[in-house]
Order: sequence, then structure tokens, then C-alpha cells
Amino acid sequence: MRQHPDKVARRALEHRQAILREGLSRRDLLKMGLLSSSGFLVLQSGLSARAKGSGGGVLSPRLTPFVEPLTIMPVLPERTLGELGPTPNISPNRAVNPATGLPFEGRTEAHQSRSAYPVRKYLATRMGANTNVRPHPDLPPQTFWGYNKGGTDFATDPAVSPGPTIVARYGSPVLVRRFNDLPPPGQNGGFGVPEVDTHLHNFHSATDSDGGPCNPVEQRFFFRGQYYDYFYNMQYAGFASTHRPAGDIREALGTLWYHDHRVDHTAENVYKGLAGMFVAFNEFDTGDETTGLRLPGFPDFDIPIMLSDKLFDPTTGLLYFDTFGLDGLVGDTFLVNGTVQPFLEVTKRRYRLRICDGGPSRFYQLFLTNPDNLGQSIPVWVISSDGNLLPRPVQATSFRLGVAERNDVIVDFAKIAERFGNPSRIWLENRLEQVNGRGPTGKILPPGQGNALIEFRLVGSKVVDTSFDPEPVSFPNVPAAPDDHVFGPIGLPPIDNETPRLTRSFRFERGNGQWQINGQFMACTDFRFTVQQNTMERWILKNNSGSWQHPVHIHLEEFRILRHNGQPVLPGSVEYGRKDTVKLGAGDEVELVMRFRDYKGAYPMHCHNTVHEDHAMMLLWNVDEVGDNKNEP
Amino acid sequence: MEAVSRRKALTMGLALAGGGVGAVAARDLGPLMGSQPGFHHPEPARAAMQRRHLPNVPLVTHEGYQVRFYDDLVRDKRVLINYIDTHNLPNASVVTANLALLQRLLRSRVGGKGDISMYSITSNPRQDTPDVLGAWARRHQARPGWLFLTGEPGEVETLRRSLGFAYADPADDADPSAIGAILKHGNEAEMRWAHCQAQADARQVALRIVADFGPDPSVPRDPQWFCSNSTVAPLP
Ligand SMILES: [Cu+2]
Repeated sequence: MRQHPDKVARRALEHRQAILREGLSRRDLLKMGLLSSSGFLVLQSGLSARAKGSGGGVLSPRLTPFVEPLTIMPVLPERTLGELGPTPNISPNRAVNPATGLPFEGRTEAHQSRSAYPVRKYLATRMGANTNVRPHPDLPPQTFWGYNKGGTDFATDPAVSPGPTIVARYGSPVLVRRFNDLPPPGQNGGFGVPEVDTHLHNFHSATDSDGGPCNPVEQRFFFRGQYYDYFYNMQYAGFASTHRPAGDIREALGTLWYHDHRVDHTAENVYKGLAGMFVAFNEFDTGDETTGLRLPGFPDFDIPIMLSDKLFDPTTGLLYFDTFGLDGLVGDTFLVNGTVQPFLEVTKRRYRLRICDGGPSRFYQLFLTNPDNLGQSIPVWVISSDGNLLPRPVQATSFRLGVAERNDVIVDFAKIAERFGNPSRIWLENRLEQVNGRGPTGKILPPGQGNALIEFRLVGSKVVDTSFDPEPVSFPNVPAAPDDHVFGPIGLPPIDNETPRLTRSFRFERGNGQWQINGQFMACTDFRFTVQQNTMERWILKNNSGSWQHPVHIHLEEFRILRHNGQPVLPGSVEYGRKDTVKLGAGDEVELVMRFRDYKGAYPMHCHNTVHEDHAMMLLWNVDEVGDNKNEP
Repeated sequence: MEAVSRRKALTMGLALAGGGVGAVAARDLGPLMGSQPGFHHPEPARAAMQRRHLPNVPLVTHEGYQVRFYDDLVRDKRVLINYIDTHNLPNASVVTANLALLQRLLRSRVGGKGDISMYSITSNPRQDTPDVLGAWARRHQARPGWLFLTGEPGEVETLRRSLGFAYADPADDADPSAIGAILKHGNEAEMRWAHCQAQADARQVALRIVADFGPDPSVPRDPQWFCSNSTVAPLP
């Protein structure tokens, strides 16, 4: 929420009075030889209440909502091997490019598992600046960074943000060549660094293609003029251990996202546009509503949606980011797939919305609101947690996302038309109050007084819809049980058939204003502990940081939450699923179990409030043949 | 925001663009929302950053020299900035000792013809006079290229807030240890700013700084350069 200008002024005045109360006299200052020519107590705009960490006092210009349609991001097109340029080998191409004086490829490691799973789909994309982005018609054309469809000329194939959606199928290994064609240093418009490192969030990746933040010996980010080949074998977890050779179908991932992970600069780079969605299909979740699970068909009725809150400079109308802030950044302008509060015309049928909280710091509680009848309570059916299909859909009137979390939800506009008076428009509305980067207040705003993100415009009459209807099989319409598997074989992998090798505890805390985990600072070149490959561990995550809240993300494999604040997570909860990010609310304690299969090497655990992340709320851990027994690493 | 002030905001034409209120206003108060924001010709990004974050406030060094923060200390430079209160012990000692190590790890890059400048600004300008800071610098064996800075309290406070050594939480914001927790590093011309933890292992801090500033420009660049353990040599 914005501060009322009167309030800002009042806080600034209070501050000024506080300084005056310090009792400094001109004589004190003169004695110190310090009186400035500009006189006593010069106060600049930096002293506003808002300036304290939530965006340097910037209040974005007022913008009329629902002016532009929702952009459906294009699908990243397949390329021939020849179109990629130098052949992508398992070993990196470290030959020096005379044009840059650097190796052609930024990668320094061989691709693990690629010899067993040869590439069947080649993709390419170029990261670059797009100087002609119009998030809203009342904003001037401006620069975002993004990804293109792999063409060599940005004039005909511009970088877009979010980037093109990557669509992959299990069993069909993918190689993505990502080129760094970002502008040179000093041409960033105020923020963004032109070194990059692309993490595919929640994919079961080898360290060479995980896009992690740092590593003791390997390169993790790459420079302008370089490319980096990322290899995704498109096998389920367990492919080289418990379920050779294709992995465990119960580990199927559906909605992922890719984003920059440049250590210390992730927040600004992602905010500037370096993020996109990744959709993984398989023989059950097919993308075709006439086959398999019959979920709404991609791409017409299956829509990836990235939410991001931004600030725009009220003077220039340009995207603003505070690279000096510490608390986190909360925007007052909401972009959905790159457009300010778009509308989407929908037919009266079911849609699958894959909703991702793109950060940097905001939590959402999302509702469907009928703006013409605010008293209505409209259900959705949540079918995934962090993009992984749930054992049983959950009927809910709202759902909460922390940064990086994804929920797939089924919205049935035919039922909304039938049951809620045939409304002409429905909003996807965030009603969770959050006034700074530390976390939400917890207050749920009244309907219509939150942040309307999308206006769905219901058009036409009810259409034939043969897609899967979650309502009759959803909790609580049907009781939920631990062995549910509504989505065919994509249920939950068992966890009670294996005893965790070890319990480790992690306190996320502050020491003298610095982020620490278990009292230690982040180190980019050291592993905090080593996990034994192909085992399961129990981890306890505690938020000991006062009122701060943290969406904590763990790379490599998704985990299962056993308890949240001592309460068992039960079937029927959206947290009763496979997760890669968990919301650590103020004082929260979460107990989870996780497996570490198939790969070796260094992975991070970090807060995904990207500002906290850039302030080193992170640790590195290692997977190896022999693990250690550090309980409080 | 209370309902009352929300209504007041509406009547004042200050409806919120980000939210449902703004959206309702679009229908209810059409002319207010329909007005086109008039944007000035874009200010160069570097000038905007200077105006917002790098005020040209006068400061005094621990050697008694008068300087201007932007013109003399930051413009076109690669800088490390932290806040200390030499009366906040032991925190200030720990941080300063760590930065002394860092200065040695960065070797010839700080001071002389080096490309990196270090600034420790006091958050307690009333007590941390140039003389106090001079003694502090000597005690911690600060080498050339590392300045300790104080100034007129209002200016120092303005600078602190502009540089973002500030917190939303009033208790954090009044805590010299929290203010002193961060070591900021920036390349002004490149508009590249980042943070390290001032008490983290100095070698880790050096690695992250080298990752941002690049290898020593006075040494020919190894084409296979990237930021890893090998980028920062051990202490001599
Ligand atoms: Cu956090």
C-alpha cells in the first residue's frame, strides 16, 4: 500500500524533530569545523518514511487498470543443431573467442548424464535489452531485459519479458543455448548487471545446468559475448538411482520457471526482466485436453502467468529499482506477464492458470473477486503445489504464494457464470497487505480493496468443455487420504518406506543486522555440509529473524513438508504435496524430508525474497558418495 | 491504510493505481483516472542515481581534509562503503579489523594507483570527530586508500539514508550495529552496486568484490578468468 502523502510528510517532520532533539547546536558543529555551506540539517527526499527500504520513496504514476490484454508469452521454438552455431558438446567450449577475449562458452563443467540421455530438442535464446517495452500505454517506451526466441537479430526477434515459455516433454532431453547479449556495463539504466546465470527453478538438474549462484571451483555466471549450454535430461528424479532409467513418475514436475541467479545481483536482474516460465508435459499431463488427464489444453486454455510488482519513477515513468535498499522491495504497480493489470477475454469453460510469484519480495493471497458483487465467494481448484500436481485437488476461495512459489489452479468460468449471476468480469485479486520487503502484515484486505491483477472478461455463452472437472473429486467435497492419486500415477512418492539418514536444523536469523544461517555467514566457496547421495534427510527450518518472513528455496529435488509449526501437514492441504519453496512466516518452524538423488555437486538453499538472497541469506551444500553428520551445519 | 484515509485519498484524486481502489475509481471517478501523467524528458540514469543515492554532501576525512562525497569520493570510482560508530564496541572493532584484512587481500588495488577506494563513514558524527577517526585509523593500521569520514550530523544522516544504510524497522534503524552490518561496494560509472556482510570472512568478501569489479585492471587479463577460489590470492 502506498503511504498517503500527508503521512509521508508527517514522518519526515517527525524525523527532523528527532534530529533536532539530538541537541546539536551550530556552535558544536562550528567547533568541529563541520558546518556545511548549505546550513544546518539539510534534509533531502531520502528522509521520507517510504525511503526506508521499500523503494527509495518512489510512488509510481497512477495508471488506469485493464487497458491492455494479457500477453500470452510465445513458446520458445525448436532449433536445428546447425542453427546453434558451434556444436554443443558434453564438454564446454572453452576455446577463446577473439572477438571478446573470453571463451566462447561460460560453462566450465561437462554435462552430467548427457551421454545416457542424448539431446532430442535444441533450443536457443538470447538475453538482451529491449528498449521499446510499454507495460502500459500511459508509460513511455522503456528498457526491460529479456530473452528472445533465439534469432540473431533483436530487431526482428526482440528480447521479451517474461521470456518465451519453454515447453518440454519428459523423455525428450533438451539443450538450451543461452547467449548473453546484454548491454555493456554502464548502459543498464541504473540497475542490472550484464553477467547472468539462469536457474531452472525446481528442475532436477545437474550442477552444470542448475544455474546456481556460486561454486568453489566452477564458473556459475557468464559474461557478455559468451553463451552457456544448459542440459535438461527430462527424466524424473530417481533416474540414476531408485527408478532407472527414466525416474519416478511420481516426481513429475509441471510448472517451473527460469530466472537469473547472478550472485548478489539476482533481485535487480530478475526485476529487470530476466525470468520466464517453463512447462513440462508427460504422457499423462499431456497439454491436450482430449488425452491423458484431460487438463485444459495448452496453450489456449492452459496459461502460464507471472506476477511481478514494480515501481515506476513518477518523473520519468521508467522502471525503478532500489539497488541500495536492504529490507526488500515492494512495488505498487502490478505487472502480469509484463503488462500492468491486463484483461483477458475468456470463454465460459475451464482454464488452467499456472500462477508464479515472480518477486522480488511480495507475498500474495489470491482471490477471485466479482467487482460488481463484492460479497460473492468464488471457488477455484488448486491442482498443484509449486507446479507439481497434488494427490487431490483442493477447492479453495483463495491461495497464498510466496516469492517463487507456483500454484496451478483450475478456474471454471462456466460455473462462475451459472452460480454467480452471470458476471461480465471477474478479477484475480491479491488481498494480502504488505507494506515493506520484510513480509506481509497478515491482514486480508476487504474484497475490491486489494490489488486487482487481471480482469477476466467473460464473453459468449457456455461452450462445450470436455476437460477434466476437478470439483467432484476435490477436497473437501471428497475426503483426502494419504494415498490419493487423482492424477493417475502422479501421486506422492512414499516417504515412510525410508528412514531419514539424518536430521539437520537450520536457523534463519539475523546477527547485528546481517543474515545468518545457524549463526554463520554465506560463503561462496565453501560447502556448509555434505549430503550422502541417494539418501533422504529430515531438515528443520526455523525462522529466528523476528518479524521478517522468508520463502526458502532448496535446489535439486522437491521436498515434502511434514509439519508446519508443529502441526502435521494433512491431506487436503495445498502444502500436502511436493514443494521446492516453503514460506517461513515470522517465528515459523518447518519440518521437511527431501531426497538427494542422481547427481553430485554443490547446490544452494536460500531465501527467495531476492533482496534477502542478494544480502547473502544463503548457504551451499554438497552431494557426494559419503555424507557428513552435521546436525546444525 | 485506514478506510477513512483511503476515502480521503480518493477525494483528493490520489487513488491508488496498484489496487482495486484505483480500479473502482476508474469507473466512479473517470476524469481523475483518465488524466495522462506528463513525464519529463528522461533524466540520465546516472544523474538520477546520483540525485537519489549519492548526494554531494561535504565530509571531513580522518586526516582533516574537506571533501565532497560525490565529486571527490565516488564519481568514476570503484568504492567500498561501510558505516561505523567507533563508540559502538566491540562491533566497530570487529568490522574495522575485518576491513583491514580485506584491504590487505585487495593489495595494490587500494591506495596509490589502485582502482578501489575504501570509505568508512561514521554513524555517530557528534562523537566521531576527525581526530577520533584519525586515532581509530592508526590503531587499525589502515593503509592509504582507506578514508574514515565524518561531517555535519544532518549531512551524514542524509547520506546514510540516501546510501540505504537504513531499515524500515525503527529499532534496526537506530542500531549502529545493524547500520554497520553491511559493506556496500559500487562502481559508480557502471551503476553497479551490491552488498556484502561486513563481518563475513574477508576472503569471501574479497571474492565477491572481485566478481563485481573484475580482476586487477593493472594485470593482463587471463581469458579463462572467472570468479572462483583462485581469484583472490591468500594473504602474503
Ligand atoms: Cu527472506
